[in-house]
Amino acid sequence: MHHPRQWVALLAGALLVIGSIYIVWSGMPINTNEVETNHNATYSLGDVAIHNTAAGCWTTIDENVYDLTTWVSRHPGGGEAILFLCGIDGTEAFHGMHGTSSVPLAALALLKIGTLK
Amino acid sequence: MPRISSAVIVRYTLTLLFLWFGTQQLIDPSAWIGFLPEWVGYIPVPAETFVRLNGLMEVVFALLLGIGAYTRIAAAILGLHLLGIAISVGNATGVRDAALALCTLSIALNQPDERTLDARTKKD
Repeated sequence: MHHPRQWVALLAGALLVIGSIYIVWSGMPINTNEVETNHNATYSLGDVAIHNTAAGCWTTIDENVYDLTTWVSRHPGGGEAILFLCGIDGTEAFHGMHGTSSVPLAALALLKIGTLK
Repeated sequence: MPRISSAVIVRYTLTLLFLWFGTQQLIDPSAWIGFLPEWVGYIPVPAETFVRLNGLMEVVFALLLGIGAYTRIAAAILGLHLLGIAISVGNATGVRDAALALCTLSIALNQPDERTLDARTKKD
């Protein structure tokens, strides 16, 4: 026969595991990458310009094109700080804020989807 | 009037504190994203998901603290967790959180009070 507090701990553990699975599952981005992930693809400024919302946020930095959609909710400075980059050339804003700091550059590299035509 | 020890009051008060903060994080995670440390931005988990997981953890261990099951373990986890937040946040909020964290850790450093499930079942 289990001790009552062991049942309580068992229930708490189950709540923690099931709740965590539910939270992670429900928080997963759904089809946020609207294009195939092909880093060699080329896009025009027009392609970038139509992705100007939080639901589809592209920007160009140093002639590269980045899909920031999944990054908006993870940006350390808050999503609001990068939403204005959606659909426009963000080169000046990015370097103005981060300079050549390696950590933001590494995070940015993961979001690259191609280059500008 | 039943006599209630200060240890019981402290435990119930901290239970309510963690339950309130935990449920708020589950209900409205976007309001808490600004408190996240910078490194959270570089892990592949959306900030709102991270806040919700943190809230769930606080709610579950607060329930254990309130019921008094594995009281000392729950208090130690919550206390150390809050101490980490206090150090991360810093300034006046950090000082307040550090004081609350030490109150929580004081529960972990003492025998469970008479109203905990731990103490009641020990008598049986």
